[in-house]
Amino acid sequence: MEKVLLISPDRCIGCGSCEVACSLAQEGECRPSLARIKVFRFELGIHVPMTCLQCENAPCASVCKTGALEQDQETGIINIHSEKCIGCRMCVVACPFGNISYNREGKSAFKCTQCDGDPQCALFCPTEALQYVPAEKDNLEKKRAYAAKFAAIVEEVEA
Amino acid sequence: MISITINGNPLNIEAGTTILEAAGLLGIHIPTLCYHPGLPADGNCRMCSVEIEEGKKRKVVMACSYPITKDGLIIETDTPKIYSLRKFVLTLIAKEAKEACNTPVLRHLFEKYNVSVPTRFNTSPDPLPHTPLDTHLAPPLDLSPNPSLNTPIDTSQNATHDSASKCILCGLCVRACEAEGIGCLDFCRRGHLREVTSPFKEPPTSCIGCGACAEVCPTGAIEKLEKDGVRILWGREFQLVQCTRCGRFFATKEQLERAALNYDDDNDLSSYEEICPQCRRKEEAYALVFSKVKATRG
Repeated sequence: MEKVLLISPDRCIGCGSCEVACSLAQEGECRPSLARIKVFRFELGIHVPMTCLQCENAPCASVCKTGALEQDQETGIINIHSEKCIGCRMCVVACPFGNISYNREGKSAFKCTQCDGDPQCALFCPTEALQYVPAEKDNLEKKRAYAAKFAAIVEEVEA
Repeated sequence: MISITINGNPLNIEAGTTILEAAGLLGIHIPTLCYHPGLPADGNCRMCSVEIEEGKKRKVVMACSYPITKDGLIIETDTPKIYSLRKFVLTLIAKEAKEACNTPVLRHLFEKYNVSVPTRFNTSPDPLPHTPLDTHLAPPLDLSPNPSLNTPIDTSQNATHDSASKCILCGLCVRACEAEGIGCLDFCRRGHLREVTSPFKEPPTSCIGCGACAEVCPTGAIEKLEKDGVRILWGREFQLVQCTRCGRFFATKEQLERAALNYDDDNDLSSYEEICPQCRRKEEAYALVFSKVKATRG
């Protein structure tokens, strides 16, 4: 059964466990600046975790000329082949949501790839603000609702 | 599937796999200098030389560029002949690219293949004067003893103040720029005067200032300077775009224009151009939750 990473900002308490878990799993050290997920803490106690949305026609993948960013046709996840990255950082510039970054030490771009099917952020989130759930009707409806919000934002911008 | 043997280890691979890739599958390391997994192989550095047995004939081929098509191929990656071949290549590099000797990549190879910088040779000075455009080349290395490195190789007797001698002519910058679709770098001139530069040695007009060339260079011969919102690369000065939200300088205008080419008509996101990636993320997060509040765009 296909699964999706569902983000529910209303449940997020801003603890940052996801950032720590992500950096530990991917980089081997607790280093939130290298986490693929980032929590934004706003006023009124509202917190939002942001990570790669695995876009359908991902601008990052289409701008990458070496094939370091490759969209898996089945899962839709854009994977990174770090050894192929030449450090041009066009993907960083191209992502409209700023969800991909470049690690100058490791000489590669980095983004969320959902930990090969076992996202650590969802595993460690204490309030289930991040959930790795089956792609069932209810969950997909929630995801679509958020996607619609994004679409509305883009329309606002164009107008 | 083809079955081959590398250093006595059997392996089954698909036809067309290069020797370098096949060796990687077995965890056998073959040294390279001009190879990058994301770029087409060139085979110019000759470090990846390996010996193969085709029937009764033995020959030396480049592992990065040799696709395996024959069943039963026997490959040896570390014979005495190969060792002396690689050592010879490194000795030539040590003579030509003196400033590169202390860089980590070559340093490691010099130690492994027991190469010291030759003192017998001395190239005649380049008859053409250096143009001010050579700012793209890194300044001569400071050879003062550095306790964090192992015993430094003393090249002071033979070091010319030729900053071009950090370049080992691997061509990775050329291929990286080509892969980007820009292609404003290439080799020019011949013999010991061979170098990598832009057309007519002028600041390249098609350069977008991404700096991929500097990132892939194994010896750091290409210098990418960034100061006060200006990036200097190959003699060109790029005024970096400033984020309208936080004021951070994040990319060149040319890079943004090039990225925008990938936005199709349904996805016109060019209004995000003047916002740095970090602020984009923050704004999306904000707008996601406070969607009743219109996110203002400048």
